[in-house]
Amino acid sequence: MKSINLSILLLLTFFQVTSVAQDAALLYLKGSIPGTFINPALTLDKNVNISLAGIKAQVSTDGPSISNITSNNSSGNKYIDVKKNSEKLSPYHNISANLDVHTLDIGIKAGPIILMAGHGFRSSANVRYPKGLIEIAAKGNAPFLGQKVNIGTAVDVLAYNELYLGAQTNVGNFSVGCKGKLLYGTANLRSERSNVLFQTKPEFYQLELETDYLIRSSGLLRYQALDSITLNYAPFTFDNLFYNNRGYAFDIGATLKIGQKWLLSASALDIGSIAWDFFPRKYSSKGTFTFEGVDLLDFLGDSTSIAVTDTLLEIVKVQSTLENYTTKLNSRYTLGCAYDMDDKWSFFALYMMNRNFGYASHHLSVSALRKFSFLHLGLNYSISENNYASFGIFGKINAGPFSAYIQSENIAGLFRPFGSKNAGVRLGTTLQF
Amino acid sequence: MQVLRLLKIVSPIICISICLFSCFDSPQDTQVGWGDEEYEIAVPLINSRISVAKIADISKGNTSLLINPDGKVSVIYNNNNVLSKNASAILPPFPGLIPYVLSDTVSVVKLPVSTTQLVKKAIFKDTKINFYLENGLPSDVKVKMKILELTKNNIVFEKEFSLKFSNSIPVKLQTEQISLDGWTYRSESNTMTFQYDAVLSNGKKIKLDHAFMNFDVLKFSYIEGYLGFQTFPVEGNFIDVGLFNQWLSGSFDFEDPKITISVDNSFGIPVRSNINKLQLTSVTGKTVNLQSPFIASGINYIYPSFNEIGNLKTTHFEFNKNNSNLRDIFNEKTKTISYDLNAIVNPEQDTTIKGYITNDSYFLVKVAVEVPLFGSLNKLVITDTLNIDLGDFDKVNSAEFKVITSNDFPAEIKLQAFFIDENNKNIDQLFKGEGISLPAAPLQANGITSPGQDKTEFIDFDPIRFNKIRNLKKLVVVGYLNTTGSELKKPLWIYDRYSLGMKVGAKLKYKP
Repeated sequence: MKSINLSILLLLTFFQVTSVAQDAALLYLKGSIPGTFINPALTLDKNVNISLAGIKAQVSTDGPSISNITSNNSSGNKYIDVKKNSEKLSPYHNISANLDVHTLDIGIKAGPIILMAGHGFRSSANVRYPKGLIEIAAKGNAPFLGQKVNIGTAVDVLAYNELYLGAQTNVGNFSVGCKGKLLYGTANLRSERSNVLFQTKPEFYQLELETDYLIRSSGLLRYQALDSITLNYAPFTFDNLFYNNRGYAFDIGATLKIGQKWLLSASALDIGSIAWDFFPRKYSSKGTFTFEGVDLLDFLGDSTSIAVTDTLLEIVKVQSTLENYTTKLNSRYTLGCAYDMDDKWSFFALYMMNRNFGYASHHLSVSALRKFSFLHLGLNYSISENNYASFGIFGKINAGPFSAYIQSENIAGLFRPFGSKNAGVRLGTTLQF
Repeated sequence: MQVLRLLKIVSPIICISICLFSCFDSPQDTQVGWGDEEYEIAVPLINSRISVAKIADISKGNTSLLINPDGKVSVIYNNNNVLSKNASAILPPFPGLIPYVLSDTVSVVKLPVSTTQLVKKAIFKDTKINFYLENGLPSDVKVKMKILELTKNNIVFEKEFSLKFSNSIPVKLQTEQISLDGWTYRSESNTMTFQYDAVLSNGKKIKLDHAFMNFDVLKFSYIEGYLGFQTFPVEGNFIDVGLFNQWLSGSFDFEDPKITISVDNSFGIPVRSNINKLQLTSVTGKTVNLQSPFIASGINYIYPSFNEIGNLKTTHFEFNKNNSNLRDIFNEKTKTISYDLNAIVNPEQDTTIKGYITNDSYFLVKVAVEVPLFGSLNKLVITDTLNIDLGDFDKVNSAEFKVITSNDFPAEIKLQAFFIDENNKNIDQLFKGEGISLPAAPLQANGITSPGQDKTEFIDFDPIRFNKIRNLKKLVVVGYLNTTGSELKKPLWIYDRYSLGMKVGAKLKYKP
């Protein structure tokens, strides 16, 4: 019980220290390479366009923030607080996180076509936890005698290196762009099935787990026993590059200029998959496992001390095999528009649908940009499921061909990370000639 | 200048960013733990159905349960290897230390066996011999050596040797090792006769100046004859009967306890066991001698005949209520049984009795106490003290144990346990009142009980009670047993299907 409780908190805590930035801010950067991250058809302004060390980190939840379900104990440590009623919880909640590192991206105008190329390290994770897990961690299992409580938690992680070549071109007011991507997966954890029903029977409190679990992993998880699970995750790595876990994907987009001030944008991003073949492990557990206490006869005449915990951990049987598998990328679909009112003010709106490990989420944001001589400042507001108040800021400094930008999706998330449902930052530099 | 302006603007942004991000790593915010309130955890602790059959399956060591085909149960206290002797104990291998002198062309050599033994027939195994031959004449010599008592396929043992003269005298020969495996020795006098012919190159027969025979070790795969009178003492052994170790009060009455002596014997010779002493000591220290006509006469073991070479014959003898006073003295709560006995080979010392041993022959004497669980227990109170450690419960404030029991035995069972301190002072008891009381399962007309009913008890340990016992290290368990009709000494069988069921779960209020 303790390990479950702590694990949840650690996960929540880990994901909260990264931050959330929706990609709405990329419209601020239309005309430069980062703008093509959201739509490969967003036309680059210059003949030579370079983006260096672009980093995006974000985390969000459609469930309660940490502060909403935890308190501090007398030692000042956080714990899941039973008094913060869990009735507000939905049957399931997601915590998701992304970390993208765009090391180098280049766009060069060649006649009517702009060619693009670049490398990025993309990683994302999602934890989908049920309400029952939080409730049991908060109260213990005794209040749930005779009830089947859903504690099945799905954990998904996807990390890969991407190398891409792309192009964009204009036909009148219409522009199209696409990128073809060659992918090499570095780590994956895929919860294909994650059903666990936990019951404490009223007779003499037998513990029963009905499991239907199937997890696949490559380069990340090694399972030996329930209390011996090894995670080997590197936040940035070139593992398997050009050797294993190959995949293909593409981005495609289009824009339409209406007059001098309006721009409409639509894109589909990261459409593709990775075939995992580097030690692709498949762990599955299906059945009903019951722990009914120890049989004293097993210990009769044996000097081994009676260990309930060990016996409990041994009851769940997990099969392990090696089997190649394929995962789809977390794809995104956007619709947006930009209105350049004058040389100083621009306004943007963006709708985005993410398919994050099979779970769809929707985001809508509006933003405004004020251009000073060498400084651009922006403010944006976004809404997403279960999160209706997220104000972000954007800043960009121009120094000749060089510019540096930083953007945060949720200002409050930076100051009160545990009280926020999302937080994030995007930063980077560009060179344009 | 552009760069300076840039740095002037970027620096505050970087600083602010670092400050913002650094607040995420505040240890205060990322430390996790337990809340200050109690967590209530429900866990199953014990689920046992302690059946006689299961105990029989897992019993090991010198105590076991014997289940008859009809399900009736006996307790066996074994001492499996009281005395074990193999062929080498009767006729040990004899190492060839000193060469035998063959002083003439016909020489008789004594077998190195006891004078009380007469080996009439023996088959050699793993024995090798060699000869040393020497002659002082300057000539080649051919020697034909026979051992008259040794035959194989009706052919007498015979070997030829050649001594070559090479311009020096004496002419010598140390022969190679010659295996006697499979050669059969026959004699009525424990002797072997060596006969040789030594012939010079000119055809003249001579007597060698020196001739010796040597062997590495004398071993046989089969020996036949009179193998002597021998005694193997076994004394000082005892069997620990644990049945009454925890007795506190009350009485037993087992109908037919037995002390069994069984002997596995593959020697083809008479062996008898003489019992010098068989004593039973009670839990109170009282020692009583077992009395039986067989104590004086001894027990003869059966043995395989010449038609049964290689067979194992088992003699099973038991002291019981019909041939001894065992029942009376055993029910006085016997704790140990000690004995002093001999195993005697050829006890009649009749040299006309011809027997045999093979190199695989052995005899094994086993002594056991067998207590058929057929009897009565009258208000028997047994007790035991267990060491406990409640350290694992140091963060448990209170607990409620749910205990579900059932009893298939034809005996009323009461169970209580007391927590005692280091001065053996009773601090608290586990169960309320007299403890858990399980009524005897009802007896059917065939003397077998019908299955017992489940009985549920709750044991509350509130924080005050828990604090009283938290640091105690000993638990005295007291059990009370009374078989149905025990006041009339009504004997009842214990069957393998009988069991005690115990399921224990706990709700623990845990404050980390």
